[in-house]
Amino acid sequence: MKEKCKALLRYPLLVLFFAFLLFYSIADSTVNDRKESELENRTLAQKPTMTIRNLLATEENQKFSYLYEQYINDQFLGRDIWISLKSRAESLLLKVENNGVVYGKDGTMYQKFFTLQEAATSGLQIDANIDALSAFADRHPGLATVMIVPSADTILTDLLPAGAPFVEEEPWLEKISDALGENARFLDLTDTLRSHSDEYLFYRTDHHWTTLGAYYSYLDYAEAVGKTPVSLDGLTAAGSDDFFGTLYSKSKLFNAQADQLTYYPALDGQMTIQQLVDPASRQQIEEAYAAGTLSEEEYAKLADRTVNLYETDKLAVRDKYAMFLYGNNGFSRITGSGEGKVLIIKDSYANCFIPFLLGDYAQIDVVDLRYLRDTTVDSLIEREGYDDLLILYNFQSFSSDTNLVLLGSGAKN
Amino acid sequence: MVFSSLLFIFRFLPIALAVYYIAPPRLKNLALFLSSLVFYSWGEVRYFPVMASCILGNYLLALWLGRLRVGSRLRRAVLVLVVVFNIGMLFFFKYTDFFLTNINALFGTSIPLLHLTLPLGISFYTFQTMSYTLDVYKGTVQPERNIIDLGAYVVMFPQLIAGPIVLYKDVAAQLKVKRGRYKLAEIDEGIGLFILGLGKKVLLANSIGALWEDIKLLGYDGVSTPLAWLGLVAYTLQIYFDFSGYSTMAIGLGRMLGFQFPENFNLPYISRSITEFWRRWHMTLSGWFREYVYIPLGGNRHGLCRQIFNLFVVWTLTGFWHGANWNFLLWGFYYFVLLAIEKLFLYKHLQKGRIWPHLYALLFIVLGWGLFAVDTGMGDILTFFSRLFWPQGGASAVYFARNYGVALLIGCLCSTPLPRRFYAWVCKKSQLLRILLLGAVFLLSVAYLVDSTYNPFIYFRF
Repeated sequence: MKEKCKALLRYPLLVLFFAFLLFYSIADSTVNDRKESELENRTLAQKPTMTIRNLLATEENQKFSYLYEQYINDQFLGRDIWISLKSRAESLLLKVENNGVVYGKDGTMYQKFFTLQEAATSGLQIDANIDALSAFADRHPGLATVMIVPSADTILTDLLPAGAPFVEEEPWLEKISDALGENARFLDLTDTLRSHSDEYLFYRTDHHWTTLGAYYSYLDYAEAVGKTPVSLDGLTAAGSDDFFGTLYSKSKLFNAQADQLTYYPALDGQMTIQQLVDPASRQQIEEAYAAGTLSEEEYAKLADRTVNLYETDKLAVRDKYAMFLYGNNGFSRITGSGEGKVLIIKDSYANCFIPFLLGDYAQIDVVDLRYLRDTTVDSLIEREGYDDLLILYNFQSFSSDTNLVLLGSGAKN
Repeated sequence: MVFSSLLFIFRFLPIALAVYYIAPPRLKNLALFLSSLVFYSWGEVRYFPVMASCILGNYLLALWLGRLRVGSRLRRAVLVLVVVFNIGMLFFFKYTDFFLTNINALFGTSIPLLHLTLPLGISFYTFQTMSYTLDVYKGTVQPERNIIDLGAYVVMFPQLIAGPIVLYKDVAAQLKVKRGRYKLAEIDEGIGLFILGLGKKVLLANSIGALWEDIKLLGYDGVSTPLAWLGLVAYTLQIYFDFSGYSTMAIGLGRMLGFQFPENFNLPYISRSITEFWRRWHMTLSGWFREYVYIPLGGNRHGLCRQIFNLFVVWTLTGFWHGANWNFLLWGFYYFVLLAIEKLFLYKHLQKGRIWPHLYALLFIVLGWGLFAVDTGMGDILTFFSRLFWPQGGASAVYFARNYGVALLIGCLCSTPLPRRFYAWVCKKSQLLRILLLGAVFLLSVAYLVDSTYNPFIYFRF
């Protein structure tokens, strides 16, 4: 035995490698699993149970082997430390991107937006969406204002790595404007935002614009629809200066700089997140709840609830931008102090924009097409008789959104 | 399961090695056989019977061959059966859809496709089993009576997925060694090789290869000429480090188990001719085709015309082996033409030159990878090659050269003999230096595996 040990010691690599493998494998499989990763802002895969079904599955992502491998990767001991090690090695290789995020100057990050998304059938999704938009404007001439916010890479051109082939958005914005013609008002925000490009318009580590970026665009909007815009002077700002957004969660750059997230507590109001389910479905829900087949939690989700515009609890978690408007909901109604009614069809870019409208309208209805159920925008327009209608999307999500076609056809989701 | 995954390194490997090392000498092959079956079945349990029948079929056929008189007609009939059995299995899983698609296109029929996923490593293990039974036919190998030993050879996990294509005669003797099959020095050396291979695959191939993915994403018609070249160079490096890294891992794992696998890559990009390139690239595959196709066809013994024809057969098959797609056939044909030209007159000139043969060989190797990489139809191949040779604008190379520049430089450097010399020097210089070097490569590789969105394995589908 002593001989054997002595022999082993002559091969320190062998001893170290096997010791590490054994120790780390055992430690990795005994340490408790995490539910989610704060660093990556996502839930982590959990240990799958082996069933006949997932053993014999043909779809790759339903196979037991696939699920198990995901689980091993997600729950790997010291995952965050390994990730940071990789990030450091990448910076030694002078890489300017990781996991679909491009690094610019001054700590800025950009979605690696080099190609437009293909539509499920054929052609580009953006072409289908422009057609849908123009068909919608055709049906409601003179009602809509359209704002497609150019991405950070289109505005902050000086900060991008040289020659990065980002999608050129300006020709597309022109195309959208042409397609709408006289039927809708198109606000091109490119010049407005560029004229402030040395200010803090976009988060460095998140794919959204800042409250300031939204405010400059709001000024354009207010002018276009003939409202007197709210002034920021005298308003107290609140927020967080420890915000690491979605781009950080993807890239996990080891030396990323935190962002400041701002909101104006004075610009607050009551918002009712409504569940626009048709009476028949509502009946079913009530019956299921009475019969006990629908849990309290599920039922609460299906009920209307009234909240403030800012969910300040979210300032304590990673994804702080979610504090605006309680994230994305199918249909919400906000009571403002102005006059008239407006309907906003939007993506999450509008979430920090909408509070500025509180003084301009008495009723602000907000629709997220992705989650709108059991009704259509057309029937809302017919029922409510809006004075204004704003379509507000970020260019990237506009170009890839698959629900905008509903706007064109007037069909239900 | 692939070697370059956390699951393999931190679950499968420790368990498989522990079982193998602890198993009593007589049961080592059984241990290896069973753990390899788990490895094989992991991704696709439903294909377990394919492997089982492959082992059983060849086992029985070889025994039968062994009983028949040399030169008898029945013996030849069994030989045909061997080839039909092995090739048939490969053909069914790998090529049926290709032929159906082409028949449908040609005759306007609409025979439904099978859409089968390829059983893990089928291109490799059918060639291995075939070599075994063919050797039994030739009488150079005795039929194996112990099915566990034969099974352990066929599914042996280190070489199952992507080679090297180990011939039965390479490992038969070692499989019979019960005691002292492996020495500590061999295990130690094997660990070193495994880590270096892992580094080649994870650190080099993956970080360089993402560039070719970018080009596919931008579309072949959207890239400028410099970017097309840059992308092709990246693919050239990626496929080399991907595949040779995998082979190095396999050889290292083999050594840890006490087996000496043949070398598969010997710095192919320093070749001075295409002929030399194919002596340095995927050596076990070219060796297989030489031994079991080229030489039986007569090799160079029946005049030049016959030799050229034999080359044509071998390279059509080599191309087709790489995938059921026209571009692989074209790629094989491309190498047939180049090799034939070298055979006819060019080779002797190449021998005399110093620099230009390197440039010549590299240019044609890189262009060859262009045919190999663009597997989405002849139209795309034309588009891509027109981008290469007809200066055009499009997405500029500046950004990609910056992002991948250092990785590409390191890749180029690692295609030369320098790293090999450096590693040999380190091993000689000090044990500590070697451990530090390998430790760094290993830890970095694990870090890249943990945060990997891009970890393909090109040869996986072969």
